[in-house]
Amino acid sequence: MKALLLGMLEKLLPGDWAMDVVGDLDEEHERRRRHGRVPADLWLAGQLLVFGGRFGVEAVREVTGAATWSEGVRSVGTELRLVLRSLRRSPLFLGTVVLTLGVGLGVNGAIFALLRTVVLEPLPYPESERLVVLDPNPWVPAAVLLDLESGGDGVEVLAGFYPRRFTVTGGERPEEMEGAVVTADFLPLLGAEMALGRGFAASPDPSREAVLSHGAWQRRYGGGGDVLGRTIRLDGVPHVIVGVTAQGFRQLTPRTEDPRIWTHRPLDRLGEDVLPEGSPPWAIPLARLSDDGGPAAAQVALSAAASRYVRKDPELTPGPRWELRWTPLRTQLTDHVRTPLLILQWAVGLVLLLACVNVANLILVRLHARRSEMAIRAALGASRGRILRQLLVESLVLAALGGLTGMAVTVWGLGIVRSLAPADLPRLAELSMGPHVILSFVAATVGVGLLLGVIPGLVSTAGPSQRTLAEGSRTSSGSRRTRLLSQALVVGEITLTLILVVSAGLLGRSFAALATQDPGFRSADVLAVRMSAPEHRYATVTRLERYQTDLLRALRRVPGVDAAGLANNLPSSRISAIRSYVVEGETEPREAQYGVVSPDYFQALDIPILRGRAFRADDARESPGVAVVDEAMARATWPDESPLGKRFRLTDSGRWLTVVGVSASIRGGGLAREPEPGFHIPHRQRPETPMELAVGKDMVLLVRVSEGAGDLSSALRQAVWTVDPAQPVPETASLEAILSDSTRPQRFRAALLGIFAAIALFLAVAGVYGVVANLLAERTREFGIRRALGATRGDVMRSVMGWGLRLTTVGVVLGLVGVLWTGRLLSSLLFGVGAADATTLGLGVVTVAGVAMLACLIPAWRATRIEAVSVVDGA
Amino acid sequence: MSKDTLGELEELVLLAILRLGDGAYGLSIVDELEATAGRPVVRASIYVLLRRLEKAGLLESRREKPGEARGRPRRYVRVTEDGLALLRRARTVKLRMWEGIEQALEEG
Repeated sequence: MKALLLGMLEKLLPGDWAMDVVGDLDEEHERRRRHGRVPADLWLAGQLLVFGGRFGVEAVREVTGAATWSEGVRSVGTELRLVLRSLRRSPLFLGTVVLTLGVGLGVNGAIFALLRTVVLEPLPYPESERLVVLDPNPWVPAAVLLDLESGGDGVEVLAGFYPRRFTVTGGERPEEMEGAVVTADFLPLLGAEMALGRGFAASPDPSREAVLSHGAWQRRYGGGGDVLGRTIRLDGVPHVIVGVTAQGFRQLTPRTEDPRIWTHRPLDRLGEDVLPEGSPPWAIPLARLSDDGGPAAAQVALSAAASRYVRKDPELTPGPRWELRWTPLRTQLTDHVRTPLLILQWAVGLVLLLACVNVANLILVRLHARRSEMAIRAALGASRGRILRQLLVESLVLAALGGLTGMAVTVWGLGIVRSLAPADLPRLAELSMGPHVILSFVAATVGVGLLLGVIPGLVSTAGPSQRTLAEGSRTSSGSRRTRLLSQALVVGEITLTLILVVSAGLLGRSFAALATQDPGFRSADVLAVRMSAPEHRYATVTRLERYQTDLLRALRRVPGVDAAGLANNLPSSRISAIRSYVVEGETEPREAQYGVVSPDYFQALDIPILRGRAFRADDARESPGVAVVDEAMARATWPDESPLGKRFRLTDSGRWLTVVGVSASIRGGGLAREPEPGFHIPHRQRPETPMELAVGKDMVLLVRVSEGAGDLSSALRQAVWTVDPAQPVPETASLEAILSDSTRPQRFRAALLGIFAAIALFLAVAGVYGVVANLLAERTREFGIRRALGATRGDVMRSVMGWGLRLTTVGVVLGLVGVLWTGRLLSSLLFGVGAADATTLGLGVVTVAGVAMLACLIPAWRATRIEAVSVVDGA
Repeated sequence: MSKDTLGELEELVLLAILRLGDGAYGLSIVDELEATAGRPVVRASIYVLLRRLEKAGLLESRREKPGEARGRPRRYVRVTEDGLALLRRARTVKLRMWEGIEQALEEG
């Protein structure tokens, strides 16, 4: 707290004395901490307000030149009244500026709020910066953790957890609930406070106890105070509810999806309810490193413990899998979104810059129109500083009004972000305009106001006032400096707009390429039902297989169902099951994606069988082992011969599998990955091993429905319950929607950048039009004279458009340089299109140049209407 | 920026600095004013004043490590010749005004 307050003070105070004041206050704080009656931090917070106010008043006094505080206030008040009166007389200017700044500041506010919440905000846990997990794979054998626990340097607290999805029964219908099995100190490590009851640490035997989340307590028990002591059945095992976490507590850790219920086991038994008997226990550790030399010592201890573990087991070989690394929890959670969000922030920064350029141009034009007024004021004794002060007050007022509009845009923008953002974006639920965002917003608004007041003001008040008075209010050439700055700003606008438009185009094409990828299977009219068979009811592979066969039969009887298949994973997630296999005649194991499927699987998903056959109903446990390999595996494993009839076996099973069919390859790792080798075995020939039983409970039912069959979700759920009423069935989802959801991050980025590019184009049109129109208006006499000397309308049009073309060309060339440079930032986000893609670049150039030339067209046409007579008459 | 006269608080601050000698810095000046002048001060106003007096050339400052447990250097101040001149003038004016008044104060 002290550091935060002193840091804020150092930022607030003028640079020449800031360090000294902070040092003295630090000293006084220490004195009061030892002897003071008022808490020292409270006193310091008070000093922050007093010093901020007092030095703020001093700053106003210095700017206004007032000798006293009241003089300063009166001076600012007068300036404000003059500014407001002047702005009220120019409603179009006021409206345009406020709207432009509002949009620029508003989109920045929304994206900064997103960046702050997801990436920058510390995790809501005590001393969160010292919390670490393992990277890149968070899982580790419990034996390594026990080794660390007994003598690990650098680690203050070591806890562990095992993510679970529990089948909860006892209510109206069985349901699935995300949860975790944790060690006793896990919840305290995350600073979890209890709204009711207690955690596990205080209990002598917590193995049949459960702690509920606040939300689960509200939803399942109506928030009733009598929940403590009640029994809840998790996977058929009764547990007593001993505590409810406080509202707002969430477990943000790898491999978990917002657990709502926690049970307890010691570190070496966290997964004992799901792992096969005899398997080595694994866990996900969460540790808090100690303050002094923690990270280095902790890393050394971890590496040593991993080495000792590998050396003890002769079947393990040292390698990348055992190069374990502690990484901050926050980094692990947000690493994959950091770059995309920073790119979004950069893009909105460009939009704000564009908005500022537009407004700067508008202000320059307005100042140019008022140059006679300012020259008269200067001649009557007003100093340049005084005039600049008025311009600064005006720009701060405009910025403040733009800022207020921007706040509304930010709130609206946050709603859009929430609706477009991928659901798995970390901490999305916490997205809001917090105090940091508001402070940054205010700082940006003030910064914009200062920038827009100082630069145009300095440019337009340079030069002696007498020359301006002599030239009169009707001038044939205007201020050369102002004109040059305006043109430079137009070039800048075109440059920034081109960068944004091309970036949006690249991301848009990327998303389109991804979304139109052929996954290798049919997703239209296919429903996916993901569920887990309650383990306690299907304790052997044979019983599980019979249950799955009954389920499929029941689903096929539902009217409107054309085909029903079953698999261990969604086809686009086949990559989550990789198995080692050995080909007959070889000794070296290979790896491939592994699918356990029912015979109708290929039919339900329209996966063509290219050679041989699919599975049949008689490919049962007693029959010879068979497999269908896909094209990618056939090419990789038997490149020069037909795979039909070839044999291979899984490395953990003695049963040989004969290849009876070759299917088309599928994108088993999602749309963004090329098809990789994979094979399928019949679900009735799943090996009867504890591992297969453990993973086999999780299944996906894939149901192809007839066109026009309507919503069959309810009918399918009922069909499942006719086989087992105690089977929890989560919502069904269409395979199309699941695939579409997998591209949501890319869609989110492309959509947002598209919006920013559209805003940029609009700003560029408005900006270019405004500047060109005004600069041409200055040259009315010149055009009139040229017409009088014989120039045709065509000559005038060519002259104006030629000038516009020159500006546009410079802007486009600079923009292309900018695009090639920023392409490096974007390249990691692109799919199917390069960062320097010629088509996208070409389209972007044509769009921006076309828009810029269009913006020149109307003023150019107006310039051709100028007649010599009207100019002479007006003289 | 030049000054011809001193405000009341400015005068007290300069006097406090003279009383403190080489050890005059923000914190000690505040303590001195509260202890000797018996006057509660708004700490921030003192620093604003020190800054203003330095800009007016009545003070000069230097940064030094205090050599104690305090991590940051201190900014010590001392009164310049111009500051002393203004103080002398202020003292002369006050003494002139006070001359012959003591009796009236006692009688009142």
